[in-house]
Amino acid sequence: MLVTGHCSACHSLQLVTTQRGDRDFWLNTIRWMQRTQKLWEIPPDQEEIILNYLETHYNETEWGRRPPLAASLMPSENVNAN
Amino acid sequence: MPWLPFNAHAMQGEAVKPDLRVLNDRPLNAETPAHLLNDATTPTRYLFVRNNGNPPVDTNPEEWQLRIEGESCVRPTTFSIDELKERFEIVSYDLQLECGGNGRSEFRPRASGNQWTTGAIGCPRWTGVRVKDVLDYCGVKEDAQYVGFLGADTHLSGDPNKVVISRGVPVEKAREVESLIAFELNGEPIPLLHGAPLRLVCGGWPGSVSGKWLTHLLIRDRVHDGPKMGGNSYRVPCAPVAPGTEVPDDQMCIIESMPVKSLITSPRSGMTVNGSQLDVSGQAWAGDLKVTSVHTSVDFGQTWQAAEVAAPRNRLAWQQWRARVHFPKPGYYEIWARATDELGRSQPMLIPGWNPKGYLNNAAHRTAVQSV
Repeated sequence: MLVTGHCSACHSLQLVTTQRGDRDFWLNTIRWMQRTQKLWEIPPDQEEIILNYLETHYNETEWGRRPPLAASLMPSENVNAN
Repeated sequence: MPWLPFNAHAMQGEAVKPDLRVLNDRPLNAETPAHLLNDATTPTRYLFVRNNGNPPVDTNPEEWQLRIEGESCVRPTTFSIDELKERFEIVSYDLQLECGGNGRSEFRPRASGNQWTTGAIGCPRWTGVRVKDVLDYCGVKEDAQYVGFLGADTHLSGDPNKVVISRGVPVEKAREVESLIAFELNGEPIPLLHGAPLRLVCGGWPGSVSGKWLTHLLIRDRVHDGPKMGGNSYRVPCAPVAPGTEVPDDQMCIIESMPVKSLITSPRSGMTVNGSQLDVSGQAWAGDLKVTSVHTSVDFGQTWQAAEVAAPRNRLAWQQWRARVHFPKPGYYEIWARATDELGRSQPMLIPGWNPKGYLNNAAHRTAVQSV
């Protein structure tokens, strides 16, 4: 309900449900929208509920047939490439 | 081997295998980083460890006995290790041993079990007597189908009557000249973690058929039915299934030969290298079969170059390969290697057929280098 209220004012909820990410991904997305896309301040207690919801239901599913090489196997120049 | 309490076995594991990556410390399971598998014959310290239970505490070779029996055994017989050595020809072979679950960590949905990446493989030298000679001495009835093993390892629950694992191979595999009842690994008595003082070695098949701490061989008149012969253990769907499918028991088939596979053992993944060319080497193996070619790619599989592949030291030994790769300009490269067996089957780039326990992942090995 909170997600619907805060998010679908501007864009379709499909833009949420087609994405996957961890808590940081969703938080960064909210901050980016606030910084550049005119999203309003969300009260902290509501933001907490939204992040919990998105993290639980729209987290990374790791469903790929072949993940990237592990960070431990990467040249040092590229350890953050993943 | 001196008597050791179990926690000492785990510590001993760390002491004798300091370079391995421990996946589970009880029971001890540890894999070898790819760059440590560069030797033609795998040194004992670099051989992976796979345990289902706890190693036995008393492995005195002078008191050890091997009993051959079963419905299809004509003359059930008990041998000491000295008797085996006196009565039968002693032979040595380099035999590759790979855990059926090697590569399991890449399956999605995930499969439960040790999350092996690429390191549950090795090809050390084994010395022992041939299973076939011992079977012939004891007499194999016409109706014999399978040879099962029993070992002296103990169940994690502590229940002394619970068999940890009792698998085996069809009689034809047991009778191959390379199938051994082994007492030496790389010229030394087999260490505790690898099955002291006596173990079965049937190269090219999932490592679990090569029973450790061997006490019994059972010549069976049926497919052996010990623990870990049924259900999802060391079995895959008889027909391919979509990822995540629940497969009924009667549609699961026992894994036999392991599939064609290879490793890049030099350079170590993650290296920064100078210059536009690089010498690359590795190992390739194909279960019961020979590897006929290995190809490498540094452009994500758009082009492939043939590597030089050595002959195996003997049947069921892995084969060393080497290649010189060229980088057109500085940057990030992945070196991919793909082996092909004598039936023309090669390694997939993606993860092959999903199965409930995540066996038989022979997807091509990838390493990363930065060329500067």
